[in-house]
Amino acid sequence: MSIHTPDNLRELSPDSRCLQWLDGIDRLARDGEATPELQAHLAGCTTCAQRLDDARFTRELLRPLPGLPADASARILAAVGGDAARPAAPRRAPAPRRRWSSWAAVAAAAAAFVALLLPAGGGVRPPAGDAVPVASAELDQAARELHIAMRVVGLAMAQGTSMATREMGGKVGSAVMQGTAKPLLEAVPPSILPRRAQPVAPLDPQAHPRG
Amino acid sequence: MQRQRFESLLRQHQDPLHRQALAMLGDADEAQDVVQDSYLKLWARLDEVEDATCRAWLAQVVRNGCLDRIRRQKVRRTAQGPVRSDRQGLMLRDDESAEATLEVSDLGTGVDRLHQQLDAQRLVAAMEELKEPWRSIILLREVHDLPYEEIATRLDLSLSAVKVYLHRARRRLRELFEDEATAPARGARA
Repeated sequence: MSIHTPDNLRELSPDSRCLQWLDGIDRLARDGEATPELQAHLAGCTTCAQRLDDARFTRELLRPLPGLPADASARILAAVGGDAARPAAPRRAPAPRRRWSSWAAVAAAAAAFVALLLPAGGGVRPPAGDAVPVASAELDQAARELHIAMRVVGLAMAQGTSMATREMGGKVGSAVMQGTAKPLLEAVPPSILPRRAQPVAPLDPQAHPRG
Repeated sequence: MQRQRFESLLRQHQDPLHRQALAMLGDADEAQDVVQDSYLKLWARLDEVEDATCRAWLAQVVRNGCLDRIRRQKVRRTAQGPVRSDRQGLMLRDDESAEATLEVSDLGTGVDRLHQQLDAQRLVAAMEELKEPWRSIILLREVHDLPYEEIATRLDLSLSAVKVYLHRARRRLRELFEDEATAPARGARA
């Protein structure tokens, strides 16, 4: 509902002299019913008499307009089909996603990325009986890329929820899941990489004996 | 089940909706298209629309559809150039015929047919000149018989504003209609 301001009250005021009679005039034009009070008022008020005349004129003017042709009505029924053809009600716009959910998805994707890059059988966990784990070149690369990916995600989180960072995080996540992260990660500007992360030194198997 | 309900709503409201669209657009085909589109929207949202408010809901969808088409028509008219008038004073553009607007067959039979057609053309022209929300108030009240309160809610106006505007709109529509009737030619109107 709009609120009456002094401006629109002023706008209404010239026609507001007989505001209490408007309903009655409308009813009289539609149904032909009028109270004795209204009839007495109409006899002495030219403005309201004019309003009644206009109301009758307008109704008469609009009355001859035709209704919907039968064939158009049939077309509508044919277009909608039966109950089975009725589309599901349009879903309301989804609520904004909570901020953490996209980051969690990217983080999960990054974790999956490691699993995808690692050789089948597992390069991290040594085969039973091996006293010394082997850090392969693939694992080095995977570790580096994961580091970069997590750095990107961290940067995006630090910068808030801007579309650019969300999209970036999303791209990294998608690329990781599709195994196409390498070129994307290689394109990450060095400025956002942690200094210690470049280059990642290969692990020396002899320096980290296990067992 | 829903199909039956839909058919019932179609039967109840199709005629006033068509009158509303026709009064706003002046083109029988376009009016039918708008009404059809509105019912297709209703079909898609049938679960959300209650019977009690369906008439007002449809009237608003038709109104929006008509206003959208009017906006597009204005753009087209601007691009197509000035309007000319034929011998009967009907508003025509160079690429249009009388059949493109109101069809004689839409307006009943008998000797009054031509007068009815001319009146309908003038009505449409006058409606076109009528400003919003006056035009919508008249149609919602006179064609759809919606109560003042419903019109006020739909158009986001106060109750007293609706009452006053309705009477003003009737006066203005009548003036415009009579101007249309007495205008010798509309060639000068672009």
